[in-house]
Amino acid sequence: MSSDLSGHFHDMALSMFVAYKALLFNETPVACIVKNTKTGEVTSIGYNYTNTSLNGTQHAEFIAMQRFKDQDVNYKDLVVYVTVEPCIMCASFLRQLGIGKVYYGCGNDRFGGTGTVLSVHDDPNLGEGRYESIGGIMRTEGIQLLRNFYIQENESAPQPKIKKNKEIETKEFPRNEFKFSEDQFIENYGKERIPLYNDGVKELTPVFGKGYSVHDLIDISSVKALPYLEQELGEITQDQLNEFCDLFFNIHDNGEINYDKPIRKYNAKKRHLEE
Amino acid sequence: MKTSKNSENEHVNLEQGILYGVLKQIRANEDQISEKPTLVSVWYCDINPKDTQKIVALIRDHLTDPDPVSLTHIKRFMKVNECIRSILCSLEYIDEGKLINLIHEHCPGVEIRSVGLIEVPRYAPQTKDITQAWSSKYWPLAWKGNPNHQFLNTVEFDISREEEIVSTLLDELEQCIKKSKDSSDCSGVSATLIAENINDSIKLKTIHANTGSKTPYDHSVMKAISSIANNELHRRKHSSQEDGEGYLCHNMIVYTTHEPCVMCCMALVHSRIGRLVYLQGTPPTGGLESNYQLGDRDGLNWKFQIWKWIGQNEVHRLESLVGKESKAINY
Ligand SMILES: [Zn+2]
Ligand SMILES: [Zn+2]
Repeated sequence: MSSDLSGHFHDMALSMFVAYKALLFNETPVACIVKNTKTGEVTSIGYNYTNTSLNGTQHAEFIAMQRFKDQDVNYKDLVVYVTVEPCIMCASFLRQLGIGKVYYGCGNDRFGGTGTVLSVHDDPNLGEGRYESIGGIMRTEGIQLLRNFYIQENESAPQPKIKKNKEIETKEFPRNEFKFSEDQFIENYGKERIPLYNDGVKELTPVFGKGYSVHDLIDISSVKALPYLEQELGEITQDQLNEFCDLFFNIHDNGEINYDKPIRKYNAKKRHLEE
Repeated sequence: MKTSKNSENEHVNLEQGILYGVLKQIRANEDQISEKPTLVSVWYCDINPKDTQKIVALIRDHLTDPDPVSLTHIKRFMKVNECIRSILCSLEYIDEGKLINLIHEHCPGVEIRSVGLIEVPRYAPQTKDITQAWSSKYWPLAWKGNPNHQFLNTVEFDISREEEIVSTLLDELEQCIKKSKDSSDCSGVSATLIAENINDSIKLKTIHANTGSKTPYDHSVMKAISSIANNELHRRKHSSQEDGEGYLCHNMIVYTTHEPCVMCCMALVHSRIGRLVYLQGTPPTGGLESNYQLGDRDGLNWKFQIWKWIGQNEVHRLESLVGKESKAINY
């Protein structure tokens, strides 16, 4: 039981930044990093690649794991930090590989395969490879990235599309529901956080009782150290990292979201951020 | 061939969902069908009964075709106290401001007493009993007979062409087995063919086999989807033609030797294929009849037709190539 979640928040923030780079690349901002628990090393990254590849199966998890295809790797040693709950396809893919564990940011209401729509990760009928999938770390940031993508999509449509989802334009986030057991919650997040389990409104923070903003979680050297990222999605600058951090609300000490903080909105047409 | 009394067509067995004795429909069966409907928010308005005809015209001319949600199973009018309450269209189609403008524009003089949102079942119920239950719980629904019976009676197949394609699929599988080094172990061996219906004839687009690799990257369905994408990337690079758009495998037809695993079934949902034909079930890992019925689930935003080829010649030929049992392997 570890109550300091700073390490997990750091790793998830790295994934969030990869997702932002994917957004700059006109892809859906969903991404992951893969960490080897034996060495503590980040050995792969992945990001949604469906637009560029024209292939609807090229989700972040596929891009990340394909890099191990011809390597001798023990998938049980690998942990995936993904910004959005794996879809049903990816949940099955990771199970067939024999992945060690998954941490995800926000749930995937339409396609979530590790607890939201189906529980492919631990369905006893599907044979070997059951794994644990734990959500909620940087939940609001995962959602906020997607909102920036959909806002941009609607605004660049030739005729303004009918709003598919009213929530995209609203500020408030959907309720924070954990799709795993209370025991798993305690084991992963610590006993002192248990009031959050059924709270619905408050968010996890790296240190219990202390708020955070994304600025605190990562710096330029840690994102530059990510494998494959700059080669594949272009150079990373300090400005870019600042712009990324400005997309998000911060979280108060009590876990509530600070909706009063002015945040930026990504604008694809102008290729920069605006207030 | 046994044909049901209610069937309008000789080749249709309504009870068992079998066409021409070779294609068996695979779908969520009635006890799997949720009694809880998927709901959709729709706009209603309350009007004076004398204005009903004007609203009928408004719905017919301006609110039916452009609405992304089909509401043909919803009764449009119900008496509420002294008013008529009418279902106009879905919230997905239009917001309140635009709706009110439309009403003012096309129904001048109609007195709208109130406008609001209610939730109604999004899809037509599958049985008469459920229709009645949902009608009293949500909003009056129309029962026009079993929607699946209507589907089975109207769906069209060129069955000799289908047979030909299934044979092509098995030819490919047979060749790959012969070529592979170890042809004694046929577990995990499968083949997938993707075709497209162009001007009423089915054209083959790609065919891929997995010669027994157990890693999920090598499943024949994934390889076939990737090759459709790669061919299109190549075409766009070397052609001045305007880029296509939308989902690449949109409404394509997929033929595969085995019930695909959960990953592959969901890949087909993401790719928005039109229908799937497979020969051998793969309990306990498959994503259709064995688990979940992916492809026939309301919540996933896309459904495709699922057919199991039960023609004995082809089924026996496949069994002679790969055996009967799937041995808990993901295909
Ligand atoms: Zn996925
Ligand atoms: Zn598969």
